Amino acid sequence: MATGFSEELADLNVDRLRLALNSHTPTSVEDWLKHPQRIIGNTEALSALLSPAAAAYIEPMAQLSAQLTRQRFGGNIQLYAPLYVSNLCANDCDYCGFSSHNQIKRKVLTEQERAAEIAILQRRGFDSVLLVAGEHSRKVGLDYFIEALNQCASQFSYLALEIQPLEIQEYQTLVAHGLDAVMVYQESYQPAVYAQHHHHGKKRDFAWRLDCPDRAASAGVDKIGIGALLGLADWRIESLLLGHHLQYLEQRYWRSRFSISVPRLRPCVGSNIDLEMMSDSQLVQMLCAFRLFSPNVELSLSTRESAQLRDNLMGLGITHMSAESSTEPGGYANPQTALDQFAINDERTVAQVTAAIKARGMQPVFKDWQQQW
Amino acid sequence: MKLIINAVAEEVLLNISITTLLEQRDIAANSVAVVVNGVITPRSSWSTTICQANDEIEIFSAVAGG
Amino acid sequence: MLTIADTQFSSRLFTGTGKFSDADTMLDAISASDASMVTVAMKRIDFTRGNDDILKPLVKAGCKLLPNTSGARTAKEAIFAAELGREMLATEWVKVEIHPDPRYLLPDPMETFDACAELVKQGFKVLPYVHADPVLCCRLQEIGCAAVMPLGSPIGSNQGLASAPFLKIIIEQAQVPVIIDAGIGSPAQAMQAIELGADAVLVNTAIASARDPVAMAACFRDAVTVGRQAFEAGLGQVQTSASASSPLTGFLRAQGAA
Repeated sequence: MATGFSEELADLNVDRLRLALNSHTPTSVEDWLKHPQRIIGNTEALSALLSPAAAAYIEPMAQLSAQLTRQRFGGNIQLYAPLYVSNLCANDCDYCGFSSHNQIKRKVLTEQERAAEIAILQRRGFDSVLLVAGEHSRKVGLDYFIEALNQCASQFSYLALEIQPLEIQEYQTLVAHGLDAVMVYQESYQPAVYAQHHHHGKKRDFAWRLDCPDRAASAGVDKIGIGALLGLADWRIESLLLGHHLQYLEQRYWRSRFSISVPRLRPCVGSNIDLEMMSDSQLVQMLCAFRLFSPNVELSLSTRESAQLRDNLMGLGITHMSAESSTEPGGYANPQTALDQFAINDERTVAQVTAAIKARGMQPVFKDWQQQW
Repeated sequence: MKLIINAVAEEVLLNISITTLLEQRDIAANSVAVVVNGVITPRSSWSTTICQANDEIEIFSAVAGG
Repeated sequence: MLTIADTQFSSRLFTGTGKFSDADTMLDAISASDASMVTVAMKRIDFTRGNDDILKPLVKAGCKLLPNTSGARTAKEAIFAAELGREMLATEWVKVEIHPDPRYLLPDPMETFDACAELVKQGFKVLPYVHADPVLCCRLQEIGCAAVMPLGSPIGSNQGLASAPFLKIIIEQAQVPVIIDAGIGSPAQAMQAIELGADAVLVNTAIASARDPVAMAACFRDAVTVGRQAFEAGLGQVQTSASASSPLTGFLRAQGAA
């Protein structure tokens, strides 16, 4: 049995893709936009829409993206909350506040501490929760997550995990305990870039991480979230490779649905790496390109981004948003900031965010679906 | 002895093989499949498969259809 | 070039061999159609009436023969028929066709799925004939079928692509070739199927029951050829009216973002 996407990625000629990406003409972009049906599932079209030439066309792209999103998702914005349960990490990634080389206070939430966080999120009205943890298999492993899921399952309808990549059987076990979604971001789809930023720990294994969505989907996980960390390398080629990954997964795992996140690198404790910053306009271009490429993919935007940008991106293609987030373990009950994984930008309360959604003529949704049996 | 071939009872000589049975009825061996008592008998064993009394033999051929 | 289970086919038109008035007409029509694969059924020889030997001329014409389990009403019967076909024609290929309903001849999804699962395990190259059910087609691909054959409309009805909306979904989601089978009543409908993106079509009644089957067969040949050329040339989209709306990216210019 093939391990997964890592084999497909190895067959791609990335240099050729990069060359083509930068060679698209305005005419070719226009041609694709005249026939939006043809863009769907077409990586050549995605390449054109991610190209420098497409920058001049973001308004028509945005119009099409808005139309497609409304057709498929209605005017709904699904709200979820991250719940950081641990910042213990065995990896050393030079862009992340939780990196093992950072001298920060490490915390793994106990059942009681998790209960306190859960109570706050419940009061705020959340029904969809994303449990986040640094990657430490020995101290925060399968058993910990089984306990955490069990604890959350009675309180929330939809449970997602953003943790270390696991084996298929482990995902199967977690699905039985209520796991609905797995978020695992490849950070960079280029092995050389990847190796530059991951210095220590299991995360150094490029293929193990890359094949994680395959394992989760094979285990019956309902939703898989993928993404690249925008800022580690040229966002265009990373997005194109991300598009190839999405296409591969959508074709193969028809029982699952997929989500794309667009985390733009932000300052964090202990990091002073060179970043290739992506502008707001380029972010819009990327989001619209993905919506046209995959009408069904969920597009998620976290509180990393400013309130103003988030408000403007609702209705352009975004379907999922977090609100009033804390990115430190125990941060809802006891905010301390020094433990943040990354700095929050949109600091509005849930009430303020839902008001903003409604002001745009859209509907904030807390509950997606619920298992009846 | 009696054989039932395609639901019709027939008398045949003893010790007749499938191969001979087909030859006697002028049936080209490479265009049919033979079932003996509900079991498909592979072509390779036709010459050594000897019919027993009251065997139910079904001979299928390809015909025009869907 | 159409490839199914590692075998290449020179034409995207397949035909059946049934319903022709006589064997000669059937052979002439198939020859005129340039069909690269034809289905044959299997029956017990009728000694009283004799049998046309259709195999030899078909093989001579260069057609690949695809035994069909038509007549089977259950998975068990279909599996038996497949084994017969393998023995008779020395081929691992089989079209699984199970229709317990004699009036509409619609395929039974459960029996078909069970038969396919078993036959794939036995090493057959399985081509299941099914309703245009996208989920069923996904599941059949999952278990290893070499292609899927969703119907356009009931066998012999000549109603064309009544299931078009679902055929589109199947074609979009397919990871194996899609052969639209049953109900194609005219060359235009065959062309439509290929333009939609189907990898091949199977036509029987429309050719066999035409006033001039041989001429009709040639028309289908041409329709499939042209349909494929059009598909590859990239068909234009039907434009739906776009409603004018206020600019969505003005905010970027306002904040002076690059």
